[in-house]
Amino acid sequence: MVEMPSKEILLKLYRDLLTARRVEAELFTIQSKMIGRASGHRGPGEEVIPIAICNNLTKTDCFHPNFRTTLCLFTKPGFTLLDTVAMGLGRAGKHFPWFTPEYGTLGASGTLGEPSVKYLGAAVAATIQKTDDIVVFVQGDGAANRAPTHEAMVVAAAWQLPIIFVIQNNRYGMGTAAEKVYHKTILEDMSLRGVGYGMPHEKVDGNDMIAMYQVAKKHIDRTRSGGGPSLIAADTYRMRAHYEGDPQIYRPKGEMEKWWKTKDPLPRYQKQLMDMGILAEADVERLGEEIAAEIKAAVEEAMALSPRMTPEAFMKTAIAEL
Amino acid sequence: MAEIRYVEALNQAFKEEMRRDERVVMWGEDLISMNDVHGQTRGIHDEFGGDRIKDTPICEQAIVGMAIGAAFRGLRPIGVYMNAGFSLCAFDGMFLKLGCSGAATLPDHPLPVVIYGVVAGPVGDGDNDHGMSPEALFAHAPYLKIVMPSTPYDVKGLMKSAIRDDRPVIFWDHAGCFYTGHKDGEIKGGANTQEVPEEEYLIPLGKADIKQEGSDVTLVTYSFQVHNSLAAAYQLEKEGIGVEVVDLRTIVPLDVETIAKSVKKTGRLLVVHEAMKRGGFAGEIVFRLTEETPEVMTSLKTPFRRVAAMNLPLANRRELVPSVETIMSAVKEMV
Repeated sequence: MVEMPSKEILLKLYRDLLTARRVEAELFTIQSKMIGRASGHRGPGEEVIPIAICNNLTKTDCFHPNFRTTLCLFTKPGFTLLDTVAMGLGRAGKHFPWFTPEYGTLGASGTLGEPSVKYLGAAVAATIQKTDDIVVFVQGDGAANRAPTHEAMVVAAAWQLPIIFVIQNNRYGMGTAAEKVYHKTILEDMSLRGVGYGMPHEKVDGNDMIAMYQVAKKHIDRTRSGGGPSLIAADTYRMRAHYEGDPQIYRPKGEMEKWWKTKDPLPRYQKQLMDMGILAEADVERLGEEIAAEIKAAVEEAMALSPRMTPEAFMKTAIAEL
Repeated sequence: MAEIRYVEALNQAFKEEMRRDERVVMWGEDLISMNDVHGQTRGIHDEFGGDRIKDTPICEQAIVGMAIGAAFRGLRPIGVYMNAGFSLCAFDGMFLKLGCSGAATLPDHPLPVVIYGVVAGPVGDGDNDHGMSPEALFAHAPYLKIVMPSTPYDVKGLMKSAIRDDRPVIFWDHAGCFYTGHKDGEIKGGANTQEVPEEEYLIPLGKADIKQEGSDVTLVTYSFQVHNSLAAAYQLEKEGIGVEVVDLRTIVPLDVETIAKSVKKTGRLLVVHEAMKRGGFAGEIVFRLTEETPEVMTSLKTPFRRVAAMNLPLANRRELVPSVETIMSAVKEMV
């Protein structure tokens, strides 16, 4: 059993969760204004998983977030809130959280699941270069069904690579509910797939910050000390549409509203900390104000930066000689 | 200088670059257990050990994906496909990731990956899975350089340059070059040997090589079809027809200047490739010349032509790919 995290860590996790929730909402509001309509794939309610993991990683470890929670990358050591806000607004920050190989991010993909083999390469590199770096690769229950994920797990297990696969099970792969595409045994515990690959596996409530932190820490410590790959299934719920504007004809009426009311991890964790006596109403209010000011400053600073990529800059990258 | 086979020259290139730079690593199916089938990787495991060369499970998507990830983390990987056609199992990784990068990376970031594989060519019943030449599919991607050599000297110098390149390079060999070559107007077993200097040399990517000079027809080709073309040129010379054989060596970058200079001299252009005709690279060659040297292309003595495989699922049957005979007929119809 992993011990209870310190009070400092518990409060840091709360601050990260509150920041993630606020910055995500703020950036989508600004983006919608910029392009004149709501757009994109949002992920409130799924932040616990990347935050709990990133708080156990080093600057040079590799981390791939599920695409809904890329705005949680400010919690990955190496990146700042400003970097993340700049990314969200298409501006050139100091580091680009989606892609900064020295800090362990290697780019996202519109074909989900595909980066699993790319991050596998980072794990291979760590064994060849004999570093202590490990890789945590998070993807959704939809992407987890894709072929590259299978190949990544086959190779990771065969070569005992320092990589942890995490299925961020939010119960929907785009418009298709997990129960339609998973056998009921696996639906119950997606980490059971690890058995087939010969990997240690564990299921965890991905909306429970303390449990998620403990499980992430246990697996990360194990893999870093040479224990090889493992698979974690972190259960959560998709509390937004697949894309903004999606009429969600596939979702039972009232399902999402019920989750917001009863299972949102933010009030849940807040209450837990209050019950433990390490967070008071006054702290919540003060932190909320601090975070709002930080986000406001980051947005202003980011908007003053130059665009990250212009068509001219892209042109320069083409093979000059064709 | 010793006269060596094509596969030996390639093997030397791998070993020399792995000695020179410890970041150079390679992986693929059966590189150790079968010496990559044709002997390309012979001796590499003995000399460099299991960190530098690895046999993967039969996981084609992992081969290219791992190469990209490891390159971003500081290695210079060579991802190997036993057959070039197998890389199509990993088209996302090959085309969209290695070939396009995209908005979620920094497209100008170094990506020193070589993807190496073999076009089996016309063998057996000619199935496309093993035999096809897939280069045109990859030429469509913005970031892929594509090398397809024909001789021992070229394969060594080009592979060494490919490994040292900081951007992705696709390197397709043709099994025909391993075992056969042109000699006195015919394709013969064991004929593709050459004296290769012992001192180091590099061949820059993007420079075509005129393998034979001639004044009547410019024949642009690459890979094993260079040998068929040289055999055809040898026979045609006896009939009084001079064929200039331009070996592209790399189709991306394309050496338009060298082709245009030759076509200006001969006034005739024939493109020969083993890949299927529709959407094949011949069309791109003609268009590039037309765009960049319209004066050359509007003063041709006869319309340009191409010899290529038919668009068939079994396109690689020996009788369906370009041969010495079909190349000769095409040239004769042009002069």
